[in-house]
Amino acid sequence: MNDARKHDDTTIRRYIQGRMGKDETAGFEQKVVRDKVTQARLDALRNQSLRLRELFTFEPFDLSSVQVNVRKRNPHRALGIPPAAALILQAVGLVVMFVLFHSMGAYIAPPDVRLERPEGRILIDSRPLSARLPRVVMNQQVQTTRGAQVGLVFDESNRIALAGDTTVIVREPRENVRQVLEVSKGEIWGRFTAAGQRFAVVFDRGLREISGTTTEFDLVCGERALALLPENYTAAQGTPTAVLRVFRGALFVSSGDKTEKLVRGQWAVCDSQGGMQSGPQSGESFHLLRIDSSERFKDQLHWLNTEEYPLRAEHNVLELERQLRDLAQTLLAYRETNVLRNAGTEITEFEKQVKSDIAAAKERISQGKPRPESELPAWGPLRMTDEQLVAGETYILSAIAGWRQRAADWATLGQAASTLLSRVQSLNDQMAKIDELRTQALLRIQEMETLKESIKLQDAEIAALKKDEKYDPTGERRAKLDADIKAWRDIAKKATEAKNKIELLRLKLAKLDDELDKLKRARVPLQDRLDKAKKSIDDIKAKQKANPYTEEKLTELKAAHAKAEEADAKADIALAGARDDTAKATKALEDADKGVILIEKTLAENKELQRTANDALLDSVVKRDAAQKALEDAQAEVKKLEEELAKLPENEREGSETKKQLDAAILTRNEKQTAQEAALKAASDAQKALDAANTELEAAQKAQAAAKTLATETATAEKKAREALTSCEAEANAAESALKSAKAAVNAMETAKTEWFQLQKDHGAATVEYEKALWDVEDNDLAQKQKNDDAQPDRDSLASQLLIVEESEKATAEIDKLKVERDRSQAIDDDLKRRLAARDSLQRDHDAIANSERVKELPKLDADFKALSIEHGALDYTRARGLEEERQLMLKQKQALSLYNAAAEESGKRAVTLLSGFCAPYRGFDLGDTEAASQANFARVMETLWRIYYSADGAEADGKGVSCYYVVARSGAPTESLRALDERWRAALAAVLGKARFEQAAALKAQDLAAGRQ
Amino acid sequence: MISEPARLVRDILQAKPGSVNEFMRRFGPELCDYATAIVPVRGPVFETALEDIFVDLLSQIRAADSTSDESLRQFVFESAARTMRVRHRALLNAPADLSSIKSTYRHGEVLRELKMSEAELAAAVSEGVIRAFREDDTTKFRAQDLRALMKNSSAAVACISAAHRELCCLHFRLGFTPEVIARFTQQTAAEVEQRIDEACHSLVTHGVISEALA
Repeated sequence: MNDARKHDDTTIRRYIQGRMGKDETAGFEQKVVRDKVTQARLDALRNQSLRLRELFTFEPFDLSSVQVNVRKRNPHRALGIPPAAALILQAVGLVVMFVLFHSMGAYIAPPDVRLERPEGRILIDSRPLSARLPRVVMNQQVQTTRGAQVGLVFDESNRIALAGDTTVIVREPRENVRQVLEVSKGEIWGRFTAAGQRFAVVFDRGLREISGTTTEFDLVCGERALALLPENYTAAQGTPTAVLRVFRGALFVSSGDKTEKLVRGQWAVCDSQGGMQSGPQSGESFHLLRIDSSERFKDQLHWLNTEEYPLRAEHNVLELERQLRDLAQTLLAYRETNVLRNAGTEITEFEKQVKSDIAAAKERISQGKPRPESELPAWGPLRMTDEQLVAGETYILSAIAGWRQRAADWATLGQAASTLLSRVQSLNDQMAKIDELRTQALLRIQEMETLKESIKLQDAEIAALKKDEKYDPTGERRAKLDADIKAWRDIAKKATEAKNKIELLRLKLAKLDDELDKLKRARVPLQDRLDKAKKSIDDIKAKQKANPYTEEKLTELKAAHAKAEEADAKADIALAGARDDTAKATKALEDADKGVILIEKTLAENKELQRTANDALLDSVVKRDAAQKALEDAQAEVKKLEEELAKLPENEREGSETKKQLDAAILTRNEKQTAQEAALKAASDAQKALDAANTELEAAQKAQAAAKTLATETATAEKKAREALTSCEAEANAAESALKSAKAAVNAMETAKTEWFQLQKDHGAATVEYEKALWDVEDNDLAQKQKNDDAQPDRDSLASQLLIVEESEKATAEIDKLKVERDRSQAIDDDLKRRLAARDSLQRDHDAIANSERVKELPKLDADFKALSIEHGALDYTRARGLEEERQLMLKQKQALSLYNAAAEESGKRAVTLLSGFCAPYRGFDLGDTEAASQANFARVMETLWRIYYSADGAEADGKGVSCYYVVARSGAPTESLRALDERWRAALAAVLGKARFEQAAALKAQDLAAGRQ
Repeated sequence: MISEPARLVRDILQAKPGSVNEFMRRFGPELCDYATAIVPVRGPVFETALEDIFVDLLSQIRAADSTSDESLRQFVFESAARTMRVRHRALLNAPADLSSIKSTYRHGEVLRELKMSEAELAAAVSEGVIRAFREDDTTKFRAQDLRALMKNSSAAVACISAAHRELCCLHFRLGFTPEVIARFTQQTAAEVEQRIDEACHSLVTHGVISEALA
């Protein structure tokens, strides 16, 4: 497929798919209307597109297998529950709904309340609790003594834990509230998880009530509430009577007509005035400190915890934690106030000092007694005169104000002062830049002077050019030269015209010359043709002369031919007769020869028969003689035997041997007799046959002689016939030869006659050809003459035009000379103009520099440089002064640190005493081998507990040094920090107890603590 | 009021149940045809390629232009083309398989390909719709007659290279213009048009399609 076809196909496809523009579509459609081929291609490609669409539409594919894998690999996943769990949840939901509907339609049954995990002394309606835990019935009072605690379970779901010294009463259910509890005093922790069961807790002498469904909270009533107030509680007019903290979910607190909703993380404090204050929980984690992992109130500290630091919130006791925290807080506050530096305060103080210095300087200047320079430092940034100080007042105070506003960014005044260094350096840079600009301005002023010199030089050159003799300011001289050049150009222009004419004439003459050459070339074959025609006529004439044909000669030859034919016919007849006679004689001779041969054959046969009969007679005679002799022998034997027999007695003859021999001999004789008779007869027959054969032989010999005679006569006759035939044949041959000669002569003459007539015709044709060729040659000669006549005027014109061209060449040389002269004059004019332009350019550059911003702003640059110099001096002074103040402050900090260390030591002693009160001894475990060792180890453990809780060295939470627990917990440090503290604790404990005792301590649990506090 | 494509994209991103199924139901048939064009034999290789296309689409769906159905569709096939180039380059480089071109079909093959019964085939032959002839003592049928009747002749397209098949599918089956395809395949529009012309010429040369009027 060629490119054009491809392009057409692409265009058609674009049309089919509607991808053409409006104009292009219209143009294409107009083209298609006219073009049948494109219409057909359009239909074909449309059909092809449809077929391709079908071809690439494959049968549907079941995506289920792919779908499974795609869903497995789908990166977007939702939090969901497995289908089985969802089914179970639905079933549970249905059950719950059923139970709910059932409960709605039933009466309000009292809840099932039971006690669990009693610890310490528990009283039910003021009676001690029995070993078997009874069910609590409505309006029954449950009381815990100090240090005891117990749990109440409502309907096997909701739980309430009672702390020590707490009294509660389980009340009757109310409408929509099935579980009702009244707290008389003490502390409870409730966890209500049954979603469908609403509860109510009445407290503060029945004046207030908590209600809700699913929630977790802690309620403290009575005097104990004062000890467990929230950290961020602000004292109101009334005395707090109850404190409520919500750990999970939400609940409603009702006080008279007022109901307030508390949600997770909120607290409420009720006071004796009937008021209630609520707020968000902050600071300590009350739930963690108050409730242990087994959902019991924490009263004792498991202080030999070898796994984790015992004072961590999840292990520590709330009261101890609060007191330790107070100690740590006090120490830290002192540290932050006196030991740690405060950039804000320091900056404010510094600002005051500087302001007073500036005011003093102003006062001295106003009095005309500025500080003498001898009182100033010998060198450095602090060497500021009063005038300089007053001049830089704005910068100094602005910089210090800036420090004050950003005091939080720095730890000390020194850090703030250090920040000015970059500004001072920047000012240095700016001053350097301005100085650079000032230098540039000065350089430009110098450049202006140089330009002025150049302008003077240009003026001198211009004056010299104007004095030159070729200088033609008005242009008259150049105008005359231009006129002359124009005149010569006219002549030259004629040459151009003449050249054009020459070209035309040469073209025309060349054409004529071509035609003449063509005619000359055409004449050569014409001349050849004429010569050939002439030669052809001559040849024909020579042949005519050589031809022998005449009419008379032909007639004579024909008569001779007729005679020869007649003689030949006669000779043929005679020859036929002779041949017939010869044939007959030959046949008779052959018949005679055949008779002789036949008779000779018969004679030979008779001779053979006669010889055969003779032989047969001889054989039969021999056989007859043999038979005769055999018979005579047999007869002799018979006779002999008869004689012998006769000699025998009569009675012995019969049966004797001789008799038997005689009988046999008789038989033999009889047989011989028969044979002899047969031989006689055969001999007789052979004699007769011989006689007959002899007779036939004689007859045959006679016939042979007669036949031989006849054959001799016939041979003589046949010889005569042959001689006659030979003579006839010779005559016939002679006649035939004569006839052939006559016939050949006639034929030769006939051929000559034909050639003669043909030559006559050829001569006519050659004559015509000659005339035609002669005519063409003459025409060609005439045409050549005509062409030469036609070309003659053009040739004359060409000569005249060549003359004009010659003249124009002279004119061109003259024009060149005039041009040179004119160009010299023009060059002076141009040079003058160029120098004038250069002078103008120099003048413009001079003016531009004079008017440039850099030159103009030189005074301003001087002023800016001065201002920056003042600012630089002021800021550098401020920075140096600040750093000097920083040195003084560092000395003060060192003194405060000594005091802080002493206070920390004192607080440590107090904390150890406090901790000792919460650390009861473990049953069956001593800290040392002796009492003294135990006490010493105990003291060391207490010190370790406090040191890890708060350490003056680790009171930083910067993540680099070792932090104490108080700082870690307060700063919300990650778990890793707490684990590090655990490690510190374990290491310290192991160091105090030793390895063996430490391993024993690892087995201790909170339950091993001896009851009660020291 | 959120548009339908935007809703679908949002549902997929939020992993709403059924969103992936709806997405596959919507674009599955066309993507199947696209994958079949490149891998004509629907075996494990084909399923792997199709699965990768869907997974890549789901992971990149956040970048989809969901302002209209067409823009989402273009995103889908641009992503599919990218997946084929990044993960299954070898499949795209597969050459033409001329052995797939058959000039004759046997009796059983005709019944299978055309999904006809014996009686229907006999009727078609008697009416002259299909020409049958004897060869090597077996009845055979001319492929030229059958191709027009074949609803699915996926094997026949294997006579052109996989790259050509992809372009033909995108252009003729899915209706994308060469300019859009050029964006998908990182070529110029002129190259795409030239390759499509080559593919058509090849298919005509091998007798898979005819330019004669239907």
